[in-house]
Amino acid sequence: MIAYLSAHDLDIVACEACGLPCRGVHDGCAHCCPRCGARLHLRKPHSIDRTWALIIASIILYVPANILPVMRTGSLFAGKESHTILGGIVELWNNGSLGLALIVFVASVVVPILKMLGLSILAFSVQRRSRWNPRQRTALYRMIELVGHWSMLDVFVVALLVALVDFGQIAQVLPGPGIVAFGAVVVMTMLASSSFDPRLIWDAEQANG
Amino acid sequence: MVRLWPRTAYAESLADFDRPFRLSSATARQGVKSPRTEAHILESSRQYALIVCDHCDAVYRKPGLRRGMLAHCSRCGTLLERMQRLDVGSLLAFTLTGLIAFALANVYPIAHIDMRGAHDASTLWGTIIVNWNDGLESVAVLIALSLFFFPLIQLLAAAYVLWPLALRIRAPGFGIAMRVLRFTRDWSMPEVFMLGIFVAMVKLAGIARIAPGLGLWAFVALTGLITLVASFDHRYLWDIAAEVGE
Repeated sequence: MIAYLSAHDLDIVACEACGLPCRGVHDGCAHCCPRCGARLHLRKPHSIDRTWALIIASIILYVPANILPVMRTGSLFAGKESHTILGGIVELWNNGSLGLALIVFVASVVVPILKMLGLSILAFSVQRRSRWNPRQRTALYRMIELVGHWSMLDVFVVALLVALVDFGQIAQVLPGPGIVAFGAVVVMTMLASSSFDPRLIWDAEQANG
Repeated sequence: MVRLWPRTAYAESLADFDRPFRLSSATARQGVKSPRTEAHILESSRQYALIVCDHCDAVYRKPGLRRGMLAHCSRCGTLLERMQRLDVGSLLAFTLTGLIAFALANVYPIAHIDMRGAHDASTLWGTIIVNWNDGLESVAVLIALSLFFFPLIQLLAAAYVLWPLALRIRAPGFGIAMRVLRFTRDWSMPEVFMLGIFVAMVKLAGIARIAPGLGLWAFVALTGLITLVASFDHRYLWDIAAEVGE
């Protein structure tokens, strides 16, 4: 196995914004990158605490996001109806748009759960100083970062339907409280993944040689 | 140890070869002191410059890529560096086209809807305002930020950085503009909105006659252009800025 040198071993800190390797940065003392002016950190500050706080908040909000209706429709012909996120997916499926139902299912169910679960695993394993498969865990983090904002899909769909179907008595779509909770879940999981520092995964490896 | 895949080079770890020599020569050349901080620039010479993996902190010598090549960290697999296929001029062209597409996407309606004789059309700002008035202020703000302000700021900052660079000048406040770019590119999401438009249209197809507006096609173009503009490697622009000088 190849022994890797980490920047930490060499007393180097790479700027998170522009990538410039800098020296002479110590914890407990504020430094700015000499090239781009961003704050330099050895590791993101309070990374695990912040990640946990945001994950827990988003897990709590995920409950109302799924139970409360995300929109209410009312029309002369069909009467009043409430729709939840899962209900909307089932409706798409029943109407024959199988592909689209699958896309919405992935964006609004699979991705948020994957993010909350994945970040919990990452944060937990870092706290335990686990040395289990760091390469796979880093790949998990990369995937979480990549798919992060796609769960915003449902928020945009509801907002568009609310704006498009606005015919007063004939037909109207009104937003429900669930969509606010769901939007908050998406934003919080995105913040959680950006506050997690993947370098922590490798610090345990480095410390044990 | 350079493993070559098609278009992919694995960067060499410093630990692999003449580690003590490279390190001592690297430390000997450091020491450019910034007026603002105690931090030093480790390396100014591009040939011996180091690159640190964002995700696992491994240190490499810069791989020295040719156009269109990528370097991945051989320890954790994260993208280390990408040598742009596009040069600064074409990036600038895409950015400016993106600004035009952005203007069109905001002026023209996204979709037209026809329901039992009643007609309606909605623009992006129309959507934001209707949601605000229906008591969904938080969602309206979220949409305004992620579909209007962040993409706009992203394109403007990219143009601000790229235009002078194309003329071999470094814009004042280059560092701040680059940080703004990095932040806005995480939070602007026209591609998600585009998919959202299609989902909304399919959902309405059963109950109303719905036709795509010019704004939708502008959004499609904007999505492609923003993806192209956002794909550039920040380090590449910093390297060019270093060549151009202060």
